[in-house]
Amino acid sequence: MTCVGAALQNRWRAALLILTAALQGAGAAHARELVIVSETFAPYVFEQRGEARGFDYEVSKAVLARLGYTLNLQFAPWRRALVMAASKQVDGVLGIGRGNQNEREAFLAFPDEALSGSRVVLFYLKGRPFHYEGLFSLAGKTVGTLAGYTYSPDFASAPYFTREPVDTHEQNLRKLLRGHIDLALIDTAVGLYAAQQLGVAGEFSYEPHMISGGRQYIAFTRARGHDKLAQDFSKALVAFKKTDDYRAIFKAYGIDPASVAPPEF
Amino acid sequence: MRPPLRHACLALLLMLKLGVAAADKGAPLERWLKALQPSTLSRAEQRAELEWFINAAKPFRGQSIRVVSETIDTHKYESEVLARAFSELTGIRVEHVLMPEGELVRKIQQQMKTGENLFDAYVNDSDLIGTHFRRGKTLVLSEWMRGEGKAFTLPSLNLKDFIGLPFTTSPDGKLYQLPDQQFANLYWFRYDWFSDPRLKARFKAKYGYELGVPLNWSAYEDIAAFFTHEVREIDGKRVYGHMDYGKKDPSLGWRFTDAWLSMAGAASKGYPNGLPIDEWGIRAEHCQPVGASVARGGATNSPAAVYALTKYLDWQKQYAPPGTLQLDFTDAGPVPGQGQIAQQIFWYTSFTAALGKRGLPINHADGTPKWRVAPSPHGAYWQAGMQRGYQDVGAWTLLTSTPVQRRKMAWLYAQFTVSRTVSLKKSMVGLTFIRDSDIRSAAMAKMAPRLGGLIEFYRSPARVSWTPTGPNVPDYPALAELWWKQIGAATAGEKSPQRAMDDLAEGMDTELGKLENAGLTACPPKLSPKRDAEFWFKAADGPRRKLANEKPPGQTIDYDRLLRIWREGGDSK
Repeated sequence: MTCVGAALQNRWRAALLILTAALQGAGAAHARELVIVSETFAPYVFEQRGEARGFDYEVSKAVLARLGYTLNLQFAPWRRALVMAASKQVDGVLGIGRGNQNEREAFLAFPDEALSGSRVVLFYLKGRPFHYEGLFSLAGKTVGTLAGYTYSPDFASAPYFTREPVDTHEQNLRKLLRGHIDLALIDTAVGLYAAQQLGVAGEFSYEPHMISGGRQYIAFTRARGHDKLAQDFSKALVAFKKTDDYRAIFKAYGIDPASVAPPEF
Repeated sequence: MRPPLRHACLALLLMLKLGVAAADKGAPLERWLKALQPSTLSRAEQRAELEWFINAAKPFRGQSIRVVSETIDTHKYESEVLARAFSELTGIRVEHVLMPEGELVRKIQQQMKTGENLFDAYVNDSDLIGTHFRRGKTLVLSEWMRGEGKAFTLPSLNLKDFIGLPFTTSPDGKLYQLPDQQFANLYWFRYDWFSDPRLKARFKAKYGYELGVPLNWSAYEDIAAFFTHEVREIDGKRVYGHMDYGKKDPSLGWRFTDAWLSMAGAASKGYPNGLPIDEWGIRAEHCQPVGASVARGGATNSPAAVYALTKYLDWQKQYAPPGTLQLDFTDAGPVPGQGQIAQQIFWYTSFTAALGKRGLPINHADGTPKWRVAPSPHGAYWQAGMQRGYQDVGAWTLLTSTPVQRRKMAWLYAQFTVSRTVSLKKSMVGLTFIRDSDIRSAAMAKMAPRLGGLIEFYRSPARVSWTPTGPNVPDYPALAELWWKQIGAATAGEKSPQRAMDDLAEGMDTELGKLENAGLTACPPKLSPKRDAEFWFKAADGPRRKLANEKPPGQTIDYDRLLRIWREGGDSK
């Protein structure tokens, strides 16, 4: 295909996207609103100039629109988000896993299909290189973690290094920059994006070995009768992942969907 | 810790034959490259690893070493195939001795005490981590690899690929042992019987809940009673709802120290073994063991521990085939394979290869199993946050009393036996996985349907909740000796469960007292004064008083739902 041909196709695709969005907007006048809570987890889901953004958010919004729902996203620190979900204050949570023992299934209905995957790794300052060889290589170090996250018990309980939880990933990167911690445990995509936003992308590197992570879903509050919605969402998400619209969302964020795909078992 | 299997695996022998046959032709490197398939490395990467071993071993050509491990399929493969491969490739002759685990523990204890170099390396269970970091006689591998051993450390060893490393790391963050084989203790059951609609309906009609994987001991007991006394026969054969062993020998001790008290709920909450009270009932304060008896704040003779022993005895008397109290571990291991056992609460995954044989009545004609494995249920005292079950790592252990040149040779051989060049093939023979890359390999995915859920367990993030004997146990060989004798007195009917556990706790306290001044280099025991039991029952972190009801309602879970937890659990958010 020539460059001109590709440009024309892109214009048509853009026009189609605008038309689809307009139709979805028209439909939304009659759609039921779902109040969903999430933490800021850019680029998966975040707030920019008062608008919700992020590829997991946009994918969820598009799929819910196909099912006749609008998505009203609220942001809260992760611990607070979990409390809101458990106490039925919201219709669901965006960017959540099932829990170490799938215990969150007790109050949240999960679609079979995950939105994306998280790969949590150790970030460090390029000026203070670090080579991970196993948990023992953290001996004597202080590692920044996130309050409310469930880490593997061997990591969470090892007595020979210190874990320092904070409320946001950006706080961890700032602490890393100031030398207050030796390492920060952050999702790869989140860490890279946050560093870029802070204008310090060149300062950090990360160990590619995945310390923890897993599949991320939009899960719906069971007490609000959303079990069937979860099943419908799953089917619609599987179909949506095959569309150009899905790929266009990721392209807008400059991210290869494969790099944040749900990890295989 | 578990004793040897006497049952040579036919598949192993066949593979050995093929491996040796393939290795008989051509130059050693080419021959062994051909024999050591499959691997998670490319052929070029394997070749590079083998060339590294050949070069690193050049200063030692013509010399020999003597190493030892217990008698299991994995180590048979090492001693018969990998030792030969290493010798042919490097010119270092290896005598890889196999012996029962109990004997091996006595040898390493002897070398630690006398300094006489009995063996150049041991494959020693990580249960002894509390001994190694206190005795000061064991080489700290994390320091060795940065120091004297650096030039002899395989650049592609890839330590972070080992799943058992946290178990061989001491509380101060030092790596003492290099994992060589790993196994867990799980619940084993006949999936075909548990899925039979008629049996399910009968069970539900009698007990009021679904026949499934038991989540607690009440359900296990109900299911045991159901098969032994209600079902009685399937296809004309007498069936039993429980299997175990109780002969008074060292393997009986491991039946209890391999986390049975934790599974009953005798230990404290806390990873990996409970803090301040661990699965042996030992109370530790600031890493120092202070006592095992309730009088000193421990739990070895607590109501939960007595309950654990009582249930163990009662179930064998009431639900197991006749005579199990006279069997040792090795005799009992193959019994489920005969097709008469519905479930076994305490089952070592090291039996997987033996139970996977074609032709056994527990397997279908196509070789797929009629059985599955699942997490073992927990006792009435157990609460979320306590140790979930047991697993252990047999790991290469070098002692400081071994001359440094011999240590270097032994280190080379140890790394060879766990290198990615050989580990996938070894895993397929012994099913004692040590590397994440092997567990997630295509070869293992292909084998998974024949292994009854074992691969799913190892791929699950939940796996890390099964843990070995913890660092509280300051002298494993000395303390383990007390257990089988006291438990054996109970199985023989010489002592009541309470008396046996009282005597055990007292013996443990005495032994801990002796160790106070035994020259331990870190965290020596320091016995706390005796107090009234009531003081400790009232303490927030003390042993728990006797429950009014030790049989809460039975709870089960559908196996397929449980499998999904293994597949999908473990998210960080």
